[in-house]
Amino acid sequence: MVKSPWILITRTMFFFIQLFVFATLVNKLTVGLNLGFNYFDFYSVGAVVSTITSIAFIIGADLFEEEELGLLDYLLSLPFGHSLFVFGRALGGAVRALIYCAPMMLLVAYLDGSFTPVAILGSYVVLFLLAIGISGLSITLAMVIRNENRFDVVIAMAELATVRVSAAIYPLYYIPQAIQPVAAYSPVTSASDLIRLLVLGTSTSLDATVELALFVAIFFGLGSAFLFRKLEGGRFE
Amino acid sequence: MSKPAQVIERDFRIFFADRFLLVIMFVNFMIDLGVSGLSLSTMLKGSTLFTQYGSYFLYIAPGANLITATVASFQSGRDVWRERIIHDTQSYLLTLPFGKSRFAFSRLFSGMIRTTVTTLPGTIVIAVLYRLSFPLAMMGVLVMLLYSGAVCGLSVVAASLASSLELFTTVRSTTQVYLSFFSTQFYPASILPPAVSFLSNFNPMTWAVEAFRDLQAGTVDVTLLAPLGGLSIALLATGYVFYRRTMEY
Repeated sequence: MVKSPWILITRTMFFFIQLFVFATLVNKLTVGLNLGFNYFDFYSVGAVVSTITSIAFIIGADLFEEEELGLLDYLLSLPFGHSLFVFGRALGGAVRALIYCAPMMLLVAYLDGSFTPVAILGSYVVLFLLAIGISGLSITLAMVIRNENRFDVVIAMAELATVRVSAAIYPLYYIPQAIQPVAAYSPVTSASDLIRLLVLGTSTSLDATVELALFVAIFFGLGSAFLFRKLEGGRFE
Repeated sequence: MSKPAQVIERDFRIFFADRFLLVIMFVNFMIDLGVSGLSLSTMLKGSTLFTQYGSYFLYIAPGANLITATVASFQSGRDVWRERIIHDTQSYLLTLPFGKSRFAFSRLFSGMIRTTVTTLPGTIVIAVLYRLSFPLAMMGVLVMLLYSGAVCGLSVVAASLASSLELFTTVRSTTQVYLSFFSTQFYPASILPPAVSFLSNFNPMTWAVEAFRDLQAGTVDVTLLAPLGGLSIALLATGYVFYRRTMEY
């Protein structure tokens, strides 16, 4: 990812625009509405969670490209086991996403007035867990979809759906009732709630931790299984 | 069939070959409108800034369709880019018995048309929400066409300059962020800081979304359509110039 500076530069720029343009202006719109919370603080956490989600999705695009360019065959000839390769790719996607978002989380903790080691380290753990799950989801999609155009659009939709159908941008109780049950179980909601608990001191239930852990386990497992199947020469040519 | 019509027909066939993509685009529109639009609208219920539009939901509804139009318009640029860089078919296309200028113009025009067609379901949804009469709904289609022209121009500029997919997608994302956040798609002009307000004047989204909102009042404001048309022509002309440059060796 370091070789793709434009991706890093633009994602960072988008984060700042989301925070200092969108969140600031929508916060202005909420003045006098007695929401019971500060929208800027609320959204600032959501912006970090959205950004790490977006970055973690890139691992799928990388794998898709490697597969198209035939680079995967070369990687398989390297002297280490396939299981290690699968494990490394999934974790690599999460680690690089966390490295990228770590300074953003520091900024948000500072802006929200919770610049404490517990809040920051706890948030990093939550972000890392979310990134592992999203990397797994992205790898699964990359291994299932065979058309470049489709992959691009499906990844964009998956990113949009995971962020919008969640409590990253707006509190759960404002989401239409029919969608609330889906949004409530979204890993992005769980991660946002847990970080808000650590940074803003808002309340959340233990369920959020369980849901996030389940999401990670399912998609890390699925992503690994699909990639492993491919490496072992399964149904892909 | 005339030669430009053949080019347009070819672009339509490429675009509509995969209907799955069209479904996904509509799903994205519905997520934007039905989830984000309704949620933000509920949150901002009671704000007096949107009384004249009925609600914040109705205020941002045209923006959701214009975002879909942005995505669809950039597919035109992506096609041009793929022909140039991936498939290397541009040299073949230029050997066809067809003037280069006419070819470039037809490609841009086909991008406008197919974006307008792709976003037609969304335009109808908003026309129904706004309770527009048929002539006003047609004006809504015109707004979408003009906006599509502006974004197609931008996408073809990006496709003509980008040598890698990474660069093209970066320009695409940056353009989308500029169109969304530096315009009046989410917030009224009255609350914009001076710098954002200045930038929003050169943003086709601002004029398109305002022109569409104005239809709800049952009027057509030429002072909103004229800048949109002007920006559209300027960006199409820029796209044309850059695309033509790629055809010279």
